[in-house]
Amino acid sequence: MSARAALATALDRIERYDEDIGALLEVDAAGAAARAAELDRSESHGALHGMPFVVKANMCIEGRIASCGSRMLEGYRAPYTASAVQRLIDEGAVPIGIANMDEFAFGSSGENSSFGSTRNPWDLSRAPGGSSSGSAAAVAARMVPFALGSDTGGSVRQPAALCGVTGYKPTYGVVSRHGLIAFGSSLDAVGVLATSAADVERVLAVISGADERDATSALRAPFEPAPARTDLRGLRVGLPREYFPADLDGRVRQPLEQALDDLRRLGAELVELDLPTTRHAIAAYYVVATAEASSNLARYDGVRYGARIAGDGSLQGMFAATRGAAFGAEALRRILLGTYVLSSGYYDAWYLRALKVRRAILRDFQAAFERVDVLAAPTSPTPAFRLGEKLSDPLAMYLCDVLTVPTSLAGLPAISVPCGCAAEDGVELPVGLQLIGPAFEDARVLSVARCYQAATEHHRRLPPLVAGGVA
Amino acid sequence: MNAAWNAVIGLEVHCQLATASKLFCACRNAFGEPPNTLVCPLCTGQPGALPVLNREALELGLRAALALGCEVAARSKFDRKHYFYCDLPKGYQISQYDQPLCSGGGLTLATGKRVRLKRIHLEEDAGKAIHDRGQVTLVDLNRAGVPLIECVSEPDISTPAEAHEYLSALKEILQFAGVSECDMEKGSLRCDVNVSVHRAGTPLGTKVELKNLNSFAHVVAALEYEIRRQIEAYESGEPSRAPVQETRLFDVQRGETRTMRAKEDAHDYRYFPDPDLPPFHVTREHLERARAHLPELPAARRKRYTDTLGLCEYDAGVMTSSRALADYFEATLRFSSSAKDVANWLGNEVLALFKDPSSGVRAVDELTFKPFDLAQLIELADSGKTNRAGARTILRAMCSTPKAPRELLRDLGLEQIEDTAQLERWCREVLAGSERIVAEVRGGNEKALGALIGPVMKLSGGKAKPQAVRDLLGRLIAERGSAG
Amino acid sequence: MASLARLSLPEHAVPALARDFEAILSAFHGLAELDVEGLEPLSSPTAAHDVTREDRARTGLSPDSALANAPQRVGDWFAVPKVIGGDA
Repeated sequence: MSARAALATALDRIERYDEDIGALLEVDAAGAAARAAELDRSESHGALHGMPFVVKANMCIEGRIASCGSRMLEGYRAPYTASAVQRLIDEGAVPIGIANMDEFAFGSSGENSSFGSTRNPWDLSRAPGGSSSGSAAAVAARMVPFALGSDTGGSVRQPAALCGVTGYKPTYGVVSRHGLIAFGSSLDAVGVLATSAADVERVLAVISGADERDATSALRAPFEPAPARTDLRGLRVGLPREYFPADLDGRVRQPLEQALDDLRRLGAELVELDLPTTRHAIAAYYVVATAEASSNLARYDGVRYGARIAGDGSLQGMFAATRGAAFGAEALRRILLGTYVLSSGYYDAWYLRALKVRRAILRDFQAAFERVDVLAAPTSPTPAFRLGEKLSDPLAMYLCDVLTVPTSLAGLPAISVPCGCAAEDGVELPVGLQLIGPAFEDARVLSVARCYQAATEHHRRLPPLVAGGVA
Repeated sequence: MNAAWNAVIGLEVHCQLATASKLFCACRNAFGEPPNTLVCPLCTGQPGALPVLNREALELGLRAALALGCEVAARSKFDRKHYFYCDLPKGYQISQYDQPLCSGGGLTLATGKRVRLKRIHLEEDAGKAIHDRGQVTLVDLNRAGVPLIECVSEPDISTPAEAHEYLSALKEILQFAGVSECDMEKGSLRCDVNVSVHRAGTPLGTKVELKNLNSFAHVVAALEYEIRRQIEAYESGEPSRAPVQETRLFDVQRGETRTMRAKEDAHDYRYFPDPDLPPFHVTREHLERARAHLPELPAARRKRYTDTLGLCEYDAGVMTSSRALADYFEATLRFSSSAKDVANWLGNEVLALFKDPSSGVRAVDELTFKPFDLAQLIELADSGKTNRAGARTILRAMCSTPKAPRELLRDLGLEQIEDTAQLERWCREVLAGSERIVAEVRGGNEKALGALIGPVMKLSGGKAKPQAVRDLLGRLIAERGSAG
Repeated sequence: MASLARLSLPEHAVPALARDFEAILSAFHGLAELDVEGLEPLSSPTAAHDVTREDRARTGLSPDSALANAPQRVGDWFAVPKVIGGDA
């Protein structure tokens, strides 16, 4: 397919669906058209020739909006391009738009965007999950074959699960963070949302590998997909008991048990095991993530870019007025919490302690991977919830992340793949199966997901809104 | 009777490292460029840009550590130090908190007193805020991210004079080691001071921090003022006057210090390890490479100049007053047999050029002639081809033309007169008009002869050898006496 | 905390923020239960260490692109409210 034809399809679907869904903050049709025409004229075709994609609004593309879903950066145009995006462009992929997100990636519903909530394509009254809300919704509505997101505590996997798409968080350091606007620097990973694990692999092969502009990017060769497997014989799949509590939402349990049966049928050996530190992960995660966020968000001071509010006319007054007014409620909460856990007198009890708990969590995973090859778990404790349902209770929102943050703390690779739907009020709501691997075993995790998808159809199901319009 | 007051002084010195690029980004590390021309996404704090450590900065830090005898940590890391100011683009400075590059070490003052160092760490500089132009403060980020080392001394210094000597010695060592330019005028060396006073045998007084010290003279003046202020405050016995823990600014115009920030608003910097920068390890190879690049330091050079080159202490001190001068001295020595003469010429004539604006050269690195040319010039003077005044004229000419000293000697007509018959004619001419002086000389006043040399030199156009003129005049006077 | 983080909060928002803050912290008190004796703090899962770059200068942004997003610009400077002594 020509780049122009692929672009025309994408723009047509955006035109048709995005008014309802609100996945994109900006569409650069003219720029994308010019690029597509140029690609079609060129003799050599890159690995992703002509594939349109959208980028979460926290990744920089020179001259394009990088608002992070925040009033603070409203209208901010990045002066440079993120490494991952540049690598995609170099291989012929065409960035066509900027995807909505929870402000600074703070949230699990998409509702914390300063520019309005994105809606779940499966049910417009529900949240698409977050924080990569626009990226997940755009892929779910088949506006684009893939999107870039970022995953700090589940922000790619959880919206992928709620929107019924495949969402991948690589091992920390496999994809350069250069140009990804930081939330929690030791947790942030550039992730991929697509309709299949095979497409994730194609994208990951392009964006992975060491980058001299990110000192934490691992000094390893780019990702290479593992050979296709026809079954999962010989594969030991761990089922952490902590991820399957007795009170697990039945809407999630049912599709998930079906998925585990599928894995068993494909030849995998399922092993129950314990990850006892799991119950401390939410607290450890929110201490570490908010500490880093409070630091990363210190630069938004109204001096060099972004919003400015004069306040009392002094410099420090301008800082406080700008920050107090331009950050949304969740950003304020996290900055306050992060400032607290790093402040003198509280550092040891909170931040330092959380880092030690983080070590314990990593050790738990390492011990588990002595026994099994991958872990399987639900991605989200519930299917998509209604917009507004959890907005007034930040703690309830934090608990949405309980199944995804442990892997983020440990820096491990994890994928969410659609594994069926739960029916509620006459609508079908997708459920995600999460597969987790040891550090740098990205190829293993993806090959298991690919094998599962070759044997099942869940990832091909379309939201009713778009089912008629997508061939 | 009470014991005398003692001051307890510690210094924190920041030096910009002489690297080509900044500490964590590839922007050029340079001074005096137009505003915001040496910037990139990282050093302007654009969201998403990440720091990567400059390995030369690390090496220069290690060189400083070795030059000052510090213990280098095997593992080191960077931390974020948070505060809000318009010249700090990220809202934090990348510095080192609990695992600095090195600790210990120190240097010895002329009195033999040892000033110990607590630690040296690497950090990035902030940008520059300009407050004196119009109704706003202007921010230039060219300096943001320039590599610094911060050298923190133990409070071993007792007087402003010792503080001055410590700073001079530290500057000299860091300059010689090629670590930093250490130019206070360009801000590549900056200094903060901690000072308290107490009576011997009593507990230490309250520590006060002094800032805005832009020259060594300011350090001395601020310390003198502050020590006096603190002693007077304690001696007044009024609790309200007792020094409090605070930061005080030195007011250059008034020569006094005043409160800038009280302890209540002391910063809580919320240090934590920077997740963007993985830890680094200093290996034996790192240290060996730094040691190999560590040049001979000033104290060692001075000793070599006196012990093996035979210079006096004073000349050795002048020759090691800067690394550039010492290197030029040694380069000239390769073409000259007399260290003493070279030191003499460099220390007197060449340094005089720098002080004279009309010479067009202000520093060693601006000299257009090479050490070889200087050696040639010295040889012309020593061998009597020209006199000191002629040689001085040639030296001046060398600053503006690429011609060799010998060529200039000829072009400027500065060869000394070797023709004795001509010299004798000029001497007789002068003697003929100076009967009174001749009589004095003959009367035993040898010194009067001096008054006759000048006029002869004048007739020769400055080309006669003064000693030859003196000898000849003496002989002629004696001859006339015996003849008459 | 708000002043340390340079956040001037609207008065009406303070009680709710304070309540959330308390609720979140008390929910996280469980952190203190786990025995972490002897565990090395894990500040980053990165596998990288000793990453340095060569000391070579490269051209970065032009003043115009560096200042393109600035709320206030005077010449090629970023401009901010005038700082009067001690406003640091």
